[in-house]
Amino acid sequence: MKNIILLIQKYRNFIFFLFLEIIALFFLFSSNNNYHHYNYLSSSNRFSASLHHFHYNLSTYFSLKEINEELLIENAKLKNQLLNKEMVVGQKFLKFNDTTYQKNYFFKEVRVINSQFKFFKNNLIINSGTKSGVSLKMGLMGTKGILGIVTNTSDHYSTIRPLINPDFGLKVLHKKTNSWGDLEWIPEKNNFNNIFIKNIPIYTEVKEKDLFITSGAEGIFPRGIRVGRVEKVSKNLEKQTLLIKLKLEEDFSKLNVGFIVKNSTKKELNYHLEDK
Amino acid sequence: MNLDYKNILWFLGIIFIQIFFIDALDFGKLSSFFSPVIISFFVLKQRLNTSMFQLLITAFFLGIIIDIFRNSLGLNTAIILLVAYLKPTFLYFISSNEDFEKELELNMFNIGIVRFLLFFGVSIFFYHQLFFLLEQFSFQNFFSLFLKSLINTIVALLFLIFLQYIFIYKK
Repeated sequence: MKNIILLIQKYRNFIFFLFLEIIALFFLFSSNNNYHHYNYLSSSNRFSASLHHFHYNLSTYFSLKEINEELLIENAKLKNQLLNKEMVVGQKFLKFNDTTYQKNYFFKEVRVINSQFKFFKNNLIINSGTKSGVSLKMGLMGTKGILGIVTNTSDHYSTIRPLINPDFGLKVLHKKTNSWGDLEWIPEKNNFNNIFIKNIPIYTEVKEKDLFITSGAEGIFPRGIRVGRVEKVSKNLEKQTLLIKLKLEEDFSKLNVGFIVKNSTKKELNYHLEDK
Repeated sequence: MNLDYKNILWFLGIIFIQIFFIDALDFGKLSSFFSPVIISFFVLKQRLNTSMFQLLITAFFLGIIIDIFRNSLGLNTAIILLVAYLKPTFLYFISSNEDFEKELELNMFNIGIVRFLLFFGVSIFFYHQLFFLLEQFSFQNFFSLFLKSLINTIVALLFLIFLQYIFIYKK
């Protein structure tokens, strides 16, 4: 017994080191399904997010002009859509306030208070949480295109998994041919303004500067929001698919404003998606 | 326990500098080469008579706090603990027999610029190399990772030299 105590005493530093290291590695490898991680130890907890918010308040002052211009451009685009509405021919009465015209998607304006763009697994933080109706698996879009999906919420802040994260996955459409593809961001080969699209058949005609849009299949984003434009197309002869490099519409190093997308028929859609 | 207020200030200050200054730097497409992690400086600069127990405890909490802010739980913690535990081994690079006083902090002005570059360079390079490997969790693109950690180490060393000239330098 005495020898054991002496042994422990001799190697107490190493044992203590091992103990702490195992805790750290446990945190690291269980971070995807760890209760503590998602509820207390993530960057959208109250303390760290409010510090990020303070930093945002200080630094955003210097880019107010650019934000303003961005919003003005978007406003003009929306006004164009609204005032130049296509005429409806052959329909005598338009019914409003009817169940047939129920709104499908709702948007809420938020601010992106912290955006990572140079790491391996990047994350964004926005300034609204469960108290303003944000919940898991809602989409976030910017003024030009899509940004990411909500992965974690607290009372006043939420964490977003952006497109530029290797864990992100979404189905997108080629606008001209309606071909389906999968988004994939590879940290070693991409930087913060491009992304790969895989699994598009080799016979599809994809040219440079073609648009890719969201498909609306998962019910996270409405159909037709821009993702990016084609930068380079290469062929994968073994799999008979195209490997497309896309230039993203949004610049992830200069994010400021965004819109949370809420789908009012998400529950109904999930019922059909899960029922197989 | 030699817990003086300067150490506490350094602890909070290095977290602040790492999160709100270095992580916020924007170098465009090359910014992944300019994202050094300098928090191991706090652990490495501690006096030689600090016990391993204190060193490991500080390293653990420093790593956890940085990880919470960067949303990468456990990644920095695991590596900074290893660096803290291997600190005596790294010290062999600059002295075979311990010829400096145990009461002194290991900063640039106390141990000299050459020793500083050797000791901190080796340990911070070790930190970055392990960090990128553990983050990616494979040996793919090993040479680009090697280059990345080398450049990040140089940037970190430059940054630390500036930091010490600002906060430690006395005439």
